[in-house]
Amino acid sequence: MDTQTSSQASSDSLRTLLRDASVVQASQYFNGEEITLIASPPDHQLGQVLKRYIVMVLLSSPELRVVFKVHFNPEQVRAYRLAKGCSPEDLSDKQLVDFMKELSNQMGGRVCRIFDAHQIAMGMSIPLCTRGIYEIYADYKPKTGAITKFGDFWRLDGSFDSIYCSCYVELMSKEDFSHIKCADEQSQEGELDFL
Amino acid sequence: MSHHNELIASQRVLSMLEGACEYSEQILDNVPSVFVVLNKDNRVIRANKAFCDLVGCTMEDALHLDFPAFFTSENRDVLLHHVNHLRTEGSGETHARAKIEIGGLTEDQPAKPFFWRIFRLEHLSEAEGRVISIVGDDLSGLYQSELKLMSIFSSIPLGLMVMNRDGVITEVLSDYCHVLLNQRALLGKSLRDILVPHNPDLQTELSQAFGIMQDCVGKFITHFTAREAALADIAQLSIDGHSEQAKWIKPRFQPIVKNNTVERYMVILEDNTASYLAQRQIEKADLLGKQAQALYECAIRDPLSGLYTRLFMNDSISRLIASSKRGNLRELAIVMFDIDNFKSVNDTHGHALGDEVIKAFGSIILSCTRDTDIAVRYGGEEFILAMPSNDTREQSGAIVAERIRQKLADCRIDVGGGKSLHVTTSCGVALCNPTDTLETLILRADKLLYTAKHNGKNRVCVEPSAAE
Repeated sequence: MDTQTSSQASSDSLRTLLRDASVVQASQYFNGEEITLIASPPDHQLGQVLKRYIVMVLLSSPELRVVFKVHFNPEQVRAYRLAKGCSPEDLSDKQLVDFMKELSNQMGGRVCRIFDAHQIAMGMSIPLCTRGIYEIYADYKPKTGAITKFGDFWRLDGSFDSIYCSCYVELMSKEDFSHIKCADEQSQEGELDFL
Repeated sequence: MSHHNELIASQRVLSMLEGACEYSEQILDNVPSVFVVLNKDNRVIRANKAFCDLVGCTMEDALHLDFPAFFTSENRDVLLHHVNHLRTEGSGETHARAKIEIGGLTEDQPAKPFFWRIFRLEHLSEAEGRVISIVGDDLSGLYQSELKLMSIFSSIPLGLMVMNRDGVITEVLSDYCHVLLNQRALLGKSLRDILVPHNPDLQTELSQAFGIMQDCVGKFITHFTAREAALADIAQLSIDGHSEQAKWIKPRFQPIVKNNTVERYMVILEDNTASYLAQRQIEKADLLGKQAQALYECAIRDPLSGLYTRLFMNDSISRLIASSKRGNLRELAIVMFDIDNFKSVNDTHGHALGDEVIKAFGSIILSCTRDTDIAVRYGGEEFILAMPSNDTREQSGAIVAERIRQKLADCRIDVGGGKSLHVTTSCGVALCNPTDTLETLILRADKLLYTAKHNGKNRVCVEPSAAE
């Protein structure tokens, strides 16, 4: 397999890995509910302002860097949590943001564990939240060459209505990641490194 | 350990930045102006609470709303013109301002006037394109205040307008200007050119006043204040009506000042027609009153002797008699004089000298009497003097009558040629009693006069009781 084919295979594999990891982790986070992944959300494109808020984490290792974002509307999350019996006093905007930060944290953590299973140690940042408007400053332009870069976005539908996930991945090495799958997750032991 | 501390520090800085970002976003959320950010399709990608309140949606629902859809087609075209112009590469414009009404798409949603500031953001997003931010301020309150103010301006009976340095009317603030100046269109016209044809006699003053005002524009306000008094010369101007009487207006010129410098003038026209006409009526009434007084004076004052006439005597002496009967007077004497041999004076020296004698005798009577006494030329050479008195120290009618007689007897009237005339008078003095009327009193005085004449003339004959 030549370098370009290998890089494309790595990209495709990582794209699938991130999507699958988000579905599995979201299902777990939302009490085992069924999550539907919409691979190509209609009427939208990568880089658009998708929801009112974004939480994001950065996963980083010498081999690759992943910026992972969850786009959400607080009112939808509030409605979901109210339906699940949460007290309205515990549903301030800040608490809803923290709830979604934890989701992105867990999604990122899952990806880290998958790479750990392949002896690739990834560090993860603390999750940060901004307004959705800042998505216009994100740079999803794909690159090939010394560093390969690609972006992706998808939608997760469930009883919480819908959230969007987006990411851009930068591959700093020519290592082949095509063999890494979501199912390769290592059991959650020890501590994660936060960047 | 050090690496761990650095991580914690970095995380804290990130958290602080995240908090700062959220605080500034909350400020935008709560600013009273409408704030939206639009993508290349003019759909909302960021909105604040004021916008959501305006269009009646949640902040979640606001995302991706079609912003121009909130405008009527005409206003939408204006908005899109500005937005598209800013998006045009190379236009050089980074912002635009416009007053455009929003809403009014349904009957229960009245249109609201807004002042919009539209900015082009320099960042070009691949997915959202050239992004535009818009800030809008509701002008409804301002418009309502303006309408209220305009209705006040329109209803007050004053002409209000603004005039530039050349005397040209640039703003008409009250409809009453058209009524006062009898002009349908005023904007762009010279106020001086309107006023001069109606007031040709004030042409010099008007030209001077407008010259002063023109000269003061662009100069400090003190310059105007020093010359303001000259404008008082045009305090009253007339405007001829087409079918009605002339109007009288009082103009006032108030400088509009910016940075202590006169820029323009506020012209205030006051309708003075009613007060002007009232003033003319008052002056006319005054004149009539003076004429009537002069006529009355002519009627009651004998021009030759300077004494009252019989017309005045009847009422005035009757009032004294009534007062005497009520006990208000200690004494009321009626003295009747007749110049002795007056007919022969006229016949010998002519009527002109006779008139001189009458004149001299009138002067003697006036010089010997008080203001409260009433001296009357009763007939040709007959005179009556009514003398009321309250005080015992006052001289009685008999004494005064004697003094007058003596004075006339001592008087020499020049007849020319180094000669003089000697004239005497006889008189009768009657005193008022409770049963008297004017007629009975005069009758008794006349009888006493007759007695004086009969006894040799040039003497005073006093009613016996008074003499006692």
